[in-house]
Amino acid sequence: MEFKGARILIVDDEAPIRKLLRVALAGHGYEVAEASSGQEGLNEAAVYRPDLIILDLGLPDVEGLEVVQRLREWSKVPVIILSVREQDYDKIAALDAGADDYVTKPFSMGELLARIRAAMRHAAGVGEEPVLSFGELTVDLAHRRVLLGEKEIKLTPIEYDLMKNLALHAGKVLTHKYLLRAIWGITYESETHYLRVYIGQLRRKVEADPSHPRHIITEPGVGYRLL
Amino acid sequence: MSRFKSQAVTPYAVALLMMALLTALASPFKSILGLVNIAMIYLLPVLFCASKWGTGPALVAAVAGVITFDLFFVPPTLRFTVADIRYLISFAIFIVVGLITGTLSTKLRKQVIRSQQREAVVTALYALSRDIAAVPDLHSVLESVARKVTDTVEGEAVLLLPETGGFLEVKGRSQYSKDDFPDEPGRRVAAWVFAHGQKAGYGTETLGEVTGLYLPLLTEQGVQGVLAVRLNNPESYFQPEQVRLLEAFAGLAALAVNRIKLAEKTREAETLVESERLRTALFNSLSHDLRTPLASVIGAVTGLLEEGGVYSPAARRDLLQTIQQGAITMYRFITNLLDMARLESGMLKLKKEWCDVQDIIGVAVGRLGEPLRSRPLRIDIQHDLPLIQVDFVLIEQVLINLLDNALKYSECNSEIYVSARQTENRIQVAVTDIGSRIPEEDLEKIFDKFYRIISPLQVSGTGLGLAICKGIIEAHGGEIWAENSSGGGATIIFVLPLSDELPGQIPEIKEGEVNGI
Repeated sequence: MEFKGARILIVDDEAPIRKLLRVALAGHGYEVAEASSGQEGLNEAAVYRPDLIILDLGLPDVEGLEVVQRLREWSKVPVIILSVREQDYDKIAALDAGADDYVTKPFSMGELLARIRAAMRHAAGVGEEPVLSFGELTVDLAHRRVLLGEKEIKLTPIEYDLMKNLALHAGKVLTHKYLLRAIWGITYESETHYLRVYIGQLRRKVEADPSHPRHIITEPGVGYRLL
Repeated sequence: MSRFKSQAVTPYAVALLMMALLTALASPFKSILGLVNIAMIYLLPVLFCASKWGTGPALVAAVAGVITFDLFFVPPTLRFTVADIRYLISFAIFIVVGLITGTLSTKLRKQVIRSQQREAVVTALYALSRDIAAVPDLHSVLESVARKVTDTVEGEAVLLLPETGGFLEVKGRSQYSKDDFPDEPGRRVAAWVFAHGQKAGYGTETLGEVTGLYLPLLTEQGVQGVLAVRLNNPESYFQPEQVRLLEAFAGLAALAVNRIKLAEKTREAETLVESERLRTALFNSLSHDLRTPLASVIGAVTGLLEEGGVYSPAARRDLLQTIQQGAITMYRFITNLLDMARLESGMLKLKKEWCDVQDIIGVAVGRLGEPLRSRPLRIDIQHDLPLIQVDFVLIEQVLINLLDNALKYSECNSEIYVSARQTENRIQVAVTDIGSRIPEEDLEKIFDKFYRIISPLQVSGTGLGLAICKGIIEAHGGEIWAENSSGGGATIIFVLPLSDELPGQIPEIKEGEVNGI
């Protein structure tokens, strides 16, 4: 899947970061627009109609969370959060408010590009294929089957539900809250230990070495991601 | 007051009564006993009164004795005659006996009272000195002194110590002392006492018109403060013994205050030395660990910018990797410094959640990436390890630091071993490398800030990694320590307490949904 020529809006108050992103993204064939404040970012989003927004959390005028919330009132454009380590709480709040993914500074360009591609793929709705493959791991949504190579893996209903949610949003981070709501319901949205238990079980079934997970990746303090 | 009077009158009344009784009892036996014996019997009440109450009642008894003896026993009875003059001798003997015995017993009694007072003083002083000897904080010492003063004299006590700027501040007061003491004139007297090192106030020759007695807390190093005492009864006055006792209290208080001040000064000096040492360490660390990677970054960047086509693609890649490595090193350094500052300032808030230790280890291993992938890594995690309530990100940070150390302090290609198991109500995680041993005397010091052991491997780092680990683990109520393993190399072990509460039961839901079979 190629997204060359897609429009990306960078919302960051730090000129060096904007410059870095502009150069790198343009180099990868994206069209880039910039905004240096939250308000400007919201205006640009309406005028420029980007295919994806990269949003810094430490904006001087509007809280990143608020930018996401106001954006989500009228737009489904994918949003990738740029954050520093100390903004864990804001980052999770922004993700729960509808941001699609996050990258922590300092980030590698490869990491950011991978996130951009995953977010755009989901926005384009191409994740709805009935059979999803991740290396030797296959999730067959139509037949409710999970295969490791040729071998079928037996999963409990909850394990399968978890696997399905992760697979449908492959490459994208899913927050604890999102997964708990999707699988157990809104009442259980803060029972993180359910996930710890089931992710552990799932890993023992689908990972070659559960201590070195290659598919089900933990995003510390945030959630999980399937690769 | 009336009670006081009646007490003073009683001995005289008893003396007279005894004489009356004796006369009544002895008169029937007048003929049997004879005058001489009766005169002897009359000496008894005199002796009794003298030894019990002193000279006054004894004299009264003696005079009464002579008169009744003369009236009732010496013929002609019931009247005085000139012939009775010879009995003046008996009269004189009675009085002399009364006087001598009375004086002796009064003196003796005074001595007893004085030695009792002295004993009380010594006991009080001893009790106070014991109370304040080992107390490290000034406040408790001053409270003890004030309490002891109120226990000894019926009044209230306040201790004033100089603040910065030389103003005296009330630093300790007895429980029942009122806030208005010392009043404004009193404070001026206190200031005078503090300046001159002499007592003043009520009952002294200096400034005697104020309420309350002001005593300096004197030591060889000068006046430490002022002890102010006010008696509950404004009409009573300070006994000389009380003043001496108060002075002794003031002396003890002065010693204690001085001792605590000196201890504080010592502590301050130690802190200063310690912070000076840390500053030097930080300075060295900054100048070396931050400048070295920066220099390599600048070198590589200028090389690339000014090249003009001399570098092969491989060389360019080398330079770029140098830049990357330098930048990562600096980033890690600054992160460590910030983490340390956060830990020390107490700004670090634990975000505890239920975590799977295996998951944390997996994330930490993944985070170290390439350097660790090239190493044989053995991970041994107990199968049914319970979930633990910790801050995932921080414990991950601990593991990253430990693994990073293991990588740096062991030969490349040597194995690194990570284990996790439950021991009683704790989870124990150990990271072991096969490298150089840690000298025994350094086993504890390696957790100090900026402490680096000398290693044959040229190791770069901040000297903060283990200090941060220790801070994080201790914030979780756990422990961390280092051991030398028998096979050579070092093990860093940390334990985290399992919480008493258990994670809630996970509901089985969405019945009927089964994945394809």
